[in-house]
Amino acid sequence: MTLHINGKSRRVRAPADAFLVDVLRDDLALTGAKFGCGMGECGACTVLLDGAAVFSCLTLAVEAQGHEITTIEGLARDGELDPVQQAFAEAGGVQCGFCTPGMVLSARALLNEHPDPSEADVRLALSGNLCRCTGYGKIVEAVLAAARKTSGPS
Amino acid sequence: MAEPADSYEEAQRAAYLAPESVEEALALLAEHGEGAKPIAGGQSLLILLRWGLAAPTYLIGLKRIPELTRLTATPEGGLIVGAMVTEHALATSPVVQTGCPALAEAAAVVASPPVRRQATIGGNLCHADPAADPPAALIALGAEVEIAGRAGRRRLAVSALFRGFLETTVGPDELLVAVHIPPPPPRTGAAYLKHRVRGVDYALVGVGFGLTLAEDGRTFADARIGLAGVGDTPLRASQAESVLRGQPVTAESLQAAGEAAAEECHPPSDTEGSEWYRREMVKVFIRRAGQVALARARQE
Repeated sequence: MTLHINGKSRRVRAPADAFLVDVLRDDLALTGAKFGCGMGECGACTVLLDGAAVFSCLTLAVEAQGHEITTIEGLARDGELDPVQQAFAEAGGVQCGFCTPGMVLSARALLNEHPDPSEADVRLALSGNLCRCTGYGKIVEAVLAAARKTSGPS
Repeated sequence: MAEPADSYEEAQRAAYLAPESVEEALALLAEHGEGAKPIAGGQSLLILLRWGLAAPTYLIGLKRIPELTRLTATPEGGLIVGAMVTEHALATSPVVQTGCPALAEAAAVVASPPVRRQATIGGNLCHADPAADPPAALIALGAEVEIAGRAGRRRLAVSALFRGFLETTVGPDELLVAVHIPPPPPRTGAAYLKHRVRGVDYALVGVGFGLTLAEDGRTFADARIGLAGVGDTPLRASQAESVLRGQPVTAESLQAAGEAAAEECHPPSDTEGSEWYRREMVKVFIRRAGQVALARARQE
């Protein structure tokens, strides 16, 4: 099958019922998406499909064909971190890092649709992503900071 | 590029087929029998697959069937929702939000945003989780499902769809293709309210409440109540509905309906809530959902 990942076409041999998370991690060595719970509870495997956050553990790779897949590896452009990534680093929204790719991508998906979200919007958008370290406060702060930086003067 | 073979351990693999029409899908289901499983958004089925709880030999993907993705308001004020319409689409569609807020409310509280992007109304109904939100709302709206089989299509009330835990009356060679929500009679309002521990949880208790006021505006002419999380299947609270019919619109009437519903449901006891607690919450959430539905009925 052919997958469009991070702006590139990648051909991959995988079974028809392979999960996207396994193809990303095992066949394409894109290990940013984590395999956490395998049941849509933790959000560690979040990727973007046409700009919207989905769980790659609940997506068949074969059905992701024809869509633009973005993993955490594809978020930085020309060596420049995405503003969300930059804000996570600056606000201390990262501790062990296991949830971070999913958190960052869920935040990116939110800002794609709502460049100027409220704190409630941010909390809702991240509600499918569990973090066991930070207590979420700094993550929410980071997303709001990234929004302020990128949505321009309002 | 490395060969993937090593990392795929399970013996059983399923082939993936992508029909482009309902007829083609039905032919594939007939051809492959019990080993074939339709896959909609995959947000429930892929969990079962991952953990070996389902092992179909053929996955029949439904994403390429245009008929299943339509979301149409009928001229009479009803709604036709194709089976592949996502919870996200239902939660955010202006047509649903204004014309059928109870359904938008239920879709908006299914699991988490990434799940709602892919999860579909048809998949939700066919998975038949007793604690799922949309079925209770659809029962309150008097909705019907349209089921296609090789002999033709049949319609069935949503409340009659569920046979047992994770089990429906859709046959292995049939496909649920759409949900039909009838136009509401005058002075009708409906709401869905959910009680849960975390934002992303299944319903501890969910109440879909649809009601129609009599012309005097002070009497319940009709009521339809769907319950989530308090039985082996999504439930219709028929006793509570009959308690309300013909009764004055008072707090006492809603209280009596809540007590009847708490009596007729059969909630589980688990780590999230005891049977007793869920019955108490049925009373509370019937009262609250009733108040929202009343306010909406009065705006009509």
